[in-house]
Amino acid sequence: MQNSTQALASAVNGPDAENAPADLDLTVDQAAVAASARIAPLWPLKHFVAVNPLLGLASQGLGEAGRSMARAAGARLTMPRSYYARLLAEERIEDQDLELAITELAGEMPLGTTPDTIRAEALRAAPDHAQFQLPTFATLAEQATGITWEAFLVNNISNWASDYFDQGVAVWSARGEARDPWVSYRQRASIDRSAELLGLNGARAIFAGLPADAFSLLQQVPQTLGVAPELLSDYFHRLLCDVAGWAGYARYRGWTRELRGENGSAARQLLAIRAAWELTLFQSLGDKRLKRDWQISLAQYAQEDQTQWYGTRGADQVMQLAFERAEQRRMAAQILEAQNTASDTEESRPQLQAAFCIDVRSERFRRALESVSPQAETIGFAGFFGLPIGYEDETGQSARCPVLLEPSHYAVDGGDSIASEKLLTSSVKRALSSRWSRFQRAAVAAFGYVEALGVTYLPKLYQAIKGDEHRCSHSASELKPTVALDLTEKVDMAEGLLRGMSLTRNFAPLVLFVGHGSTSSNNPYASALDCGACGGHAGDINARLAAELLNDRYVRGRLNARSIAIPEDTLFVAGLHDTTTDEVTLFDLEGVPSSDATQLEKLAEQLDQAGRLVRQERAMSMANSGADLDEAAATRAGDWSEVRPEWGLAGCRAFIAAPRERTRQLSLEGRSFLHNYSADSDPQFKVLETILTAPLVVASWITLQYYGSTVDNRRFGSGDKTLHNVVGGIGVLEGVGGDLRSGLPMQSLHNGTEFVHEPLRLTAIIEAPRAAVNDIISRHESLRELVDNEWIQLHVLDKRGQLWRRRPGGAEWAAVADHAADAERTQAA
Amino acid sequence: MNIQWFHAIALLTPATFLGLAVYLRRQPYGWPTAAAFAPAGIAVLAALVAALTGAGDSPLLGKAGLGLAARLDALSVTLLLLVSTIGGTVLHYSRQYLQGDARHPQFMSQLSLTLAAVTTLVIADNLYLMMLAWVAMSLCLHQLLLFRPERPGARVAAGKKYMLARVGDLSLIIAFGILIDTLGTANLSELLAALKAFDATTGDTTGLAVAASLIALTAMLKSAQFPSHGWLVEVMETPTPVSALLHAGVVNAGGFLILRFADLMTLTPTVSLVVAGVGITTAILGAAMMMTQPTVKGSLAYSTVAQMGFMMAQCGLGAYSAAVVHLVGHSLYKAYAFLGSGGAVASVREGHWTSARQASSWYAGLPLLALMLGAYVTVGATLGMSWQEAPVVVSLGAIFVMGAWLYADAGRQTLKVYSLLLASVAGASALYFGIQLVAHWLLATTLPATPELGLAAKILLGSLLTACLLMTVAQGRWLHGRDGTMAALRHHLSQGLYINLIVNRWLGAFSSRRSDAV
Repeated sequence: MQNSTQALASAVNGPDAENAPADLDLTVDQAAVAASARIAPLWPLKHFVAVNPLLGLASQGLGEAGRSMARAAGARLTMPRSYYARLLAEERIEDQDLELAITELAGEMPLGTTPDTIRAEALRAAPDHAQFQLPTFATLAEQATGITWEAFLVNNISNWASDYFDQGVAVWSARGEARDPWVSYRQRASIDRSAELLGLNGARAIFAGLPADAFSLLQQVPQTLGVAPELLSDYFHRLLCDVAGWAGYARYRGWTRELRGENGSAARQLLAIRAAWELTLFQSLGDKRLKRDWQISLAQYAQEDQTQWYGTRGADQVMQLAFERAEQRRMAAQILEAQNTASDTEESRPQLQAAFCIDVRSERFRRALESVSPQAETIGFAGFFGLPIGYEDETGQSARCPVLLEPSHYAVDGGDSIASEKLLTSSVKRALSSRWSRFQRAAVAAFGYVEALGVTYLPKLYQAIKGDEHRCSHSASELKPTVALDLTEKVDMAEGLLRGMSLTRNFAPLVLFVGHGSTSSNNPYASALDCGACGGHAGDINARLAAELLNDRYVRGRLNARSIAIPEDTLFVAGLHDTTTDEVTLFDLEGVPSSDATQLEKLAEQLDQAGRLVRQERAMSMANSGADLDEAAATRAGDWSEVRPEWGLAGCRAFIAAPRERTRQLSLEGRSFLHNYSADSDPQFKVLETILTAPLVVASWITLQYYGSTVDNRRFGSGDKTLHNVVGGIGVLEGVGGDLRSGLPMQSLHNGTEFVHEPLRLTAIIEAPRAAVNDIISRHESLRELVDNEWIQLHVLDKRGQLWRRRPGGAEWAAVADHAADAERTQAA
Repeated sequence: MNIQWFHAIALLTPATFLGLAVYLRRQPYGWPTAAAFAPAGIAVLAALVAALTGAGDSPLLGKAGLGLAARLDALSVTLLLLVSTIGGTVLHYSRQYLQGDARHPQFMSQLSLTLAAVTTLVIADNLYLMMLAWVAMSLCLHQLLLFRPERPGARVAAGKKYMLARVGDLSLIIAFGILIDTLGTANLSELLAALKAFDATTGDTTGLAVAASLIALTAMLKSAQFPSHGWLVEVMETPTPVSALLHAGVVNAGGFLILRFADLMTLTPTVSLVVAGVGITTAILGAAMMMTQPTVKGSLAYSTVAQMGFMMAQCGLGAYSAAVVHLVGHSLYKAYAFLGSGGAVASVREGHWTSARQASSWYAGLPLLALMLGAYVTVGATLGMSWQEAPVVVSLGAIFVMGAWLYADAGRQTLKVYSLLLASVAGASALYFGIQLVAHWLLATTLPATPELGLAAKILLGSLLTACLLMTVAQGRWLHGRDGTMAALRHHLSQGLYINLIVNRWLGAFSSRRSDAV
């Protein structure tokens, strides 16, 4: 685990090598690298993982990043003003919050800004974000020719990319295409007649005449189009945003290489393709007048000043920050109050320790389980249980660990004696069904197929309406997984896992490791509901392997030598929490000694009861009506017409790393990531370092994904789920064309009447010494950026129960709980 | 009471859909599942009436030939059952799928109205009612295609469809006018009887030929025949259930029209030949284009184009009962495929979607093909369907065997595999011929028998078979090159031969002044 900890920490920093800050004399290549780094990678839907959509802009604050995105994509990073106006009217944001936000943002706001001016701004219309978007030659040509060139070329590139990256939807495709994207696109553009049919004379010849190498092509851009070097990276970013979805997917494809510190070039290939259109349009349409207009546009690029942005849109940032401060104010009061009432109970042996993923949905279940079984202790830990593994079957390999890690080992089925038999049956079944589904897709066989077998779809429709069809639970087979590790590796992993969750002594007789996964039907976004820490899969394999590891006598023997003594009678059991139905399945109980049978029965009963409580709690937000909530949840899971099987992580806003006692009295409404951490058992702050650089960063990615999808679904989200059209088995288009969509669909954020998710950047509360936290942040650049620019709003809870907020841009801390005093202190400084 | 009154029960199906349109507008969500399938239940009753009392028509609820009347025969009952079942499924699906959407009430109501129009069309017993239902169906659907009016793509596709539909309407009005004028009645049963009795050797067929041509034109426009197919592959700009209803229901209306007037078609063999020719072209091009589509809905849409072409080919070649089988089978399949299209990611995840390649060289696989075809033909002959008796059915079924051959040949070949393969081919053939026989028996009194195939028809049939064989072989071996002619061909096909682009430009879809920025 120590190894994986370091890998994790270094991996967080790895991709950042690309996020070099803009330098004035960037070469073309550096400009391309810088622009590509601002495009967040996009994971395919078969294992969708939340990514911070502003990954490349973390070095900027909300205002600056907002300006960058408005310029590049006409995107917005705050909600429409009516949203804040309502929060102000409902007094969810108060004057004290506005004052605090104004003080903190003093440098960016005009003088004389007061809560009253902000309140007035909230009711006033501000210029649309699209107005800030930079021009391209395509937009200019659009005005000149009356043809929507930009929309056309986005469709054209998207169409090519769908084909190039296709994972098997098209029967007749260019699969196995090994050429670089630009080379492939250039070849296609030299035969594609669409542009010429729209009046772009000589387009094919122009494309054929462009350099075959993407980098030489990009070199041509500043010369031909006359883009000044200092504008180049912004201009490139603007171009890439037209095809940000596919560029993001390209970046995902190069992700493993990026993790290893190599430079991924895939997004730059997409940039070359988009830039080639600028060159082609320029060459084909660029008459004297248009060329002059273009130079004027470029001059505007250079003159674009910040004052207009902050003058007209600055108030939005104040409102957003005030909203966050208001929520933090209430959360702080809640937590501090709980500390006063909490009594220090003496330590006794708990009957059950149950470790869940830090996922916000676990909080509800943990709370319910604790209420059903007061003797139980629950633990929060990343759902991959620290095992940097993957899983392999006939369909290939997949990672079962966070995307910041590369799997070191691959698990396979077959950990039990009857496995080989089951394995054979399942592989034959899979081969047959795969052959069969191919046959259905044979071009001409389909004619006869519908005549001979069309009628069989009548019972299939019936099954689907009843809800038995289409259900795809993402837990793997019922077969027991196994992974080849030598004893030292096993012991290392086991130790890292236990130390990571601060569980090194006082073991209960029963220790449960619960992964999570979701069940839904006919849902392209199914994996978005699964465990992100397990790489967008259900967490059963990791939980089962972790339990097996710790039940191993030899491992326990060696752990003893490392001063972790697991009592003889302690049994580790694995489970899977289905977040749609809130049922927990336990695994691998066959070999359990009969002495444990009673407590397992009791456990199963408690899990059932807890599940029922959670379903009741969720019923309101799910609009589940009727007497039988249990059935309503099951129905959702199996309903092929269900676009909201569950709310996923919607509502997520806080990350708390502390002993469970700090939060046990509280209902956190399923909106907080909870990680167990006890600074007492971490003298070197190694565990703290892992928590801050890995789970915390991942939690911020998830929160920012929800944030982006909510504030600007058009740019950072995937739009209307009812229009989704799965492309290449990779992602979705909205409707018939356009760019590949990223982020979350509206249906995951909005209930049709209002947003269920509230866009808030992550509030982190860590119980640890401030100096240790500062020290770790100073050593991890990407973490420092996230914290200093308030993408993560970091708080520390100290031993005396005092809450401190880290000030932006420094190692200073401000005491929270007394806003007025806080504001005073800041002003004095 | 006249037993004919029982036939009027069929009218309750569209009436129930109308009632639902009112009810669902007030309560789009949280209604009992049974409500969606009530019209289908009534359709079952109507089918029972037809089975017990025989085909016939209800008395006219109206005056002077104008009014409501239902014709119940094997064709209308089959389609009534089909449309009401698929309609119920789509309504049921939409109940949850659009839950929370601000315009959910309108959606449910428009869906239900469209279904009322389609069910009226299939049972209408007079040409006036039929015409009215035909236009209403198209107008209701238009509202659904524009359910997301803010999307420029939706407006372009709906606009294109709207124009084609109006051309179709006009052409159908003229055709019906000629029929009423020539045969002196607007009552469908009387009209069909008159057509059956018409002696083409003595009577003047000019008027009928014009009517038949216009009906064929309307049908081809409605069923998205090449090159008017463009709108069908562009209408994914509206929620999935609309696509399902369209691809599994409304688009079949063209086929239904030809089948309804099959007695007219048999009188005008030249028109039938043109229908077959257009259908075959559409089938081949549609299938080729379908293979190149990387989006799930795009692939399904081109598949519909191809299947509609195939159905038109069957109609044109006079294999009417086979066309009905095809229409029903395709609708059920396509409804399921569209509504379940979100499962595509899971399929990729499970590794289902990889393309087949033939293991052996194509000529080395030929003996296997011969064996499989042999098994197929033998089964057919045993069941009384030889080439002499049912040339079209036998020939078209052989295409299915070709497809199976491609996948059989891609795998490992042992004696066991061979015998298993032949057994399954025999089984599938028995199923195929069985269904054809049942359909033939059911529809024998409703639809005319397949006319004798002339030379031209035989050439068309032969070219379809050859093209299918070529495509099968090509799919297994030649398609995957990345350069050269095949790659270029693939590219142009994937663009739908640019037809949509040209038409869209002409319609001003690319004009920055007309459409809002995407």
